[in-house]
Amino acid sequence: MRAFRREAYRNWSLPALLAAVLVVSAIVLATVFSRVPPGPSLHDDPVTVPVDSDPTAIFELYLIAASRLTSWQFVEGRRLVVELSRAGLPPELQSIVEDVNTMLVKEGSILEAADAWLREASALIASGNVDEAGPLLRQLEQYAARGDILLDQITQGIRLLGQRANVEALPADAPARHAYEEVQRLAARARALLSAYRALSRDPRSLAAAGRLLPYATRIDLSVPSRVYAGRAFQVTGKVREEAPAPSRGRVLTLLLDKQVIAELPAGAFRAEITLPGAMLPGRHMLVGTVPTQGRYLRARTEQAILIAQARPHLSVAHPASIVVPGQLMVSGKAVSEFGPVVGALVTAQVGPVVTQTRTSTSGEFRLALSLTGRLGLVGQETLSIQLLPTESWVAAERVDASLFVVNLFSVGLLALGIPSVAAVLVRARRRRTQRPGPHAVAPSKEDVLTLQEPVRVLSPTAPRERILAAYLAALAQVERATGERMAPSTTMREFARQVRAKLKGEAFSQMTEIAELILYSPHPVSNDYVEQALHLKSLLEKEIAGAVL
Amino acid sequence: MLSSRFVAAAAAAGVILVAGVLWVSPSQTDFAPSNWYWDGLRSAVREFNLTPLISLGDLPLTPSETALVLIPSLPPSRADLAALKAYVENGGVLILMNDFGAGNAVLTGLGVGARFDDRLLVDPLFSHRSRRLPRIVDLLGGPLAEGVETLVLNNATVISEDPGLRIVARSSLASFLDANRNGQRDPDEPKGPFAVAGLARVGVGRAVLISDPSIVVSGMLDLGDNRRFVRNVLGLAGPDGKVFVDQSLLPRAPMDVAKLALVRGRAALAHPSVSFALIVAVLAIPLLLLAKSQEETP
Repeated sequence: MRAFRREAYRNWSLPALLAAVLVVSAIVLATVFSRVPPGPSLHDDPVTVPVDSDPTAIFELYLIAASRLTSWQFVEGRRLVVELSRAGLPPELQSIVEDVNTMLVKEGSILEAADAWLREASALIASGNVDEAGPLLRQLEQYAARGDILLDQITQGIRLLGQRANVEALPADAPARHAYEEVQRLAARARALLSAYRALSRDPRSLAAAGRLLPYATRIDLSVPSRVYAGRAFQVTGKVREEAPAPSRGRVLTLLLDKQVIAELPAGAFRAEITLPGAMLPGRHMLVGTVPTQGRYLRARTEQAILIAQARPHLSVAHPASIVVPGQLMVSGKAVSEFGPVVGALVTAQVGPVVTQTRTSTSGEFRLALSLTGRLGLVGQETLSIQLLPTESWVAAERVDASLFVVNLFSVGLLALGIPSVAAVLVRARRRRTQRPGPHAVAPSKEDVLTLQEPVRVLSPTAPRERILAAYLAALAQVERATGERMAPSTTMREFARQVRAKLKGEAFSQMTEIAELILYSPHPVSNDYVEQALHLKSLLEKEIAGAVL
Repeated sequence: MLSSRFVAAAAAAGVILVAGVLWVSPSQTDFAPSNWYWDGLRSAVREFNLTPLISLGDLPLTPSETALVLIPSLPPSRADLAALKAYVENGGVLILMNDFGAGNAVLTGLGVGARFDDRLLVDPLFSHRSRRLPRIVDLLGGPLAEGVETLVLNNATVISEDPGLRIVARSSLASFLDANRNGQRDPDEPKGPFAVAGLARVGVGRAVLISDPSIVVSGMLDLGDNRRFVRNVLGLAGPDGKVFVDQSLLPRAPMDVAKLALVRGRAALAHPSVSFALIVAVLAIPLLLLAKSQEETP
């Protein structure tokens, strides 16, 4: 029964252990894989999020665009219309919006061209060149007619869009509905303007008079360097030109860089020193100058690309080619740029994990000391890295890497101690191995290896066995003397014979060993033939040894 | 009877099995670097070669030519703020992506005047399917906007303007801040445009503020020009720069805690002194066994 239980335990213990490991692993994994109950949604899956855009919001932007187009802000108006193409609308509305936008852009261009021809023709007529004004007037009339037709289509498109977007279902005071109705009124205003253009184009005298009532166009001439540095001043010059009999008063030219205001200057001829913010990134930027509308003086806008650059500093570094660690590494240097010394810059020196920082002086110079401790990893060829981080935004960061040879006294010391220690341990271990009896060593019995520490007592010297053993012992003593080898207690007779074979000339001792082994281990009686053979081999051995000595 | 050695070996095998499964399994937490679902950072980590950082104390001592992506869902500690300040002031680029988390605590710690608003940015017209996914079409120029015409955000907020902040992107004229999250523009709710990305200088480093961390999750990278914009921003670290992504301030589920423990364990094993000890052990044990067997041989 007990045996049965033991057997059963042996058969079932391993699977049970494995099952326990798997169960515990599964419990741990289930706990870890449990998800924390979700809090407020951080974001929506963009693929599955429900569509809920509001297309009626487009009418507010159409209103702004239309206002701009009908108040001589042709470029701004067209720009806003183009942006509307990127609105996210349902496909059935998107196509209508695209058509309306295309027509609005064209209408804006027509209004701009008509305005330009009107002014030019008016100026020609006022100066008496009526004939030259003729072709312009004819083009003006054609464009005005075309603009009228286009306006009809735009109005229809807006109404269709309104129906599809269901804008009239909105409350009367809803911003989108209000904007939709205002756009219709602006369209009427634009139609009136085009009618006025057509009428004027047919009557040059009225045109000349009307020309004097037109708003005054404004132009901006802007001159800036093509390359500037963030944080450093640069000069901007130019002029705001008004096509008016008298200059406006109090108008301000606003300069924007990447659509953010950087300066405001009085309109007219200007010259200013402007310093860009230090946060400006190096690269290409857009500088825009604008002047707002004031009464009859129309607004103006101009833009120019500028390149914001950074001066590359020259960083010179002096350091030793090698260093003994632990110790201090002295590094010095100087940083200059095209603008002079780089002052107050953060200089960081690093060798491996050791880092030190300092700041450049007023002359751009720096000096620092790295305390290199005896870290084991710091040895041999290392890289000394010097980084320069200027505080001035117009100077770029710079980095210099140099080679350094590190002699690490700790590593050398460890090697000096470690190698001899390991060698000593190995030698000692080997010595113990050779002196200690092996695990299979058996204490010699009376009939095995003979002890050589004391003479053998021969019970009966005339017995063949004893005579052979006596001869062997005498030969053994001779061999030990001649070869200098001692037969250890753990060495067998055969092993000793092999051990000394190379030092003896012949095979006499090996053969004697075989005979001695035979008579020791054989249960049969020993014949006299073996005795004679043993004595003969003994004399041969003596001759071999004598020959070797001589 | 099973020997104690065998039981120990089986237990060790169980531990290794669990550790292995945890190591390869993806997290399901928002913004987790190992999360390969639409709301994780796995795609960004692989594509932009981001290095996950388990502690802000591990930021490099020489931070120039590096950048750190920080999504502070959890509030930073004082030590975290000190580490961030030192990092940016010494030349690092901090890319702070925040909507309704602890971004303002970071801005205060850095001394930057701009702030993240707490209200939801909604655009009923310029949007991707839903008004909560506003489409940003007003990119203000400069190197960060190079090649970028549209950004798509996802449940974002906005950034208050500050003289020290260079605005990079703005929402449309149709956008507004939905304070009560009813989806409609109420009379007291401000109308756009609003800044959604900006750049500030801190010491000799820079901080890039983006009012939506979702722009960098796997499901959003392909929308608009998000991928190009992220590449431009990460490029501030330089052509050979290293970009880190912080994990310490991200939300944590039990899976994330376990993975973090494994990462820390691996980091400890990779420590030079531990590696040295392991190498010595690996070399010494066979030698000792060999020596022992030689002694036992007759």
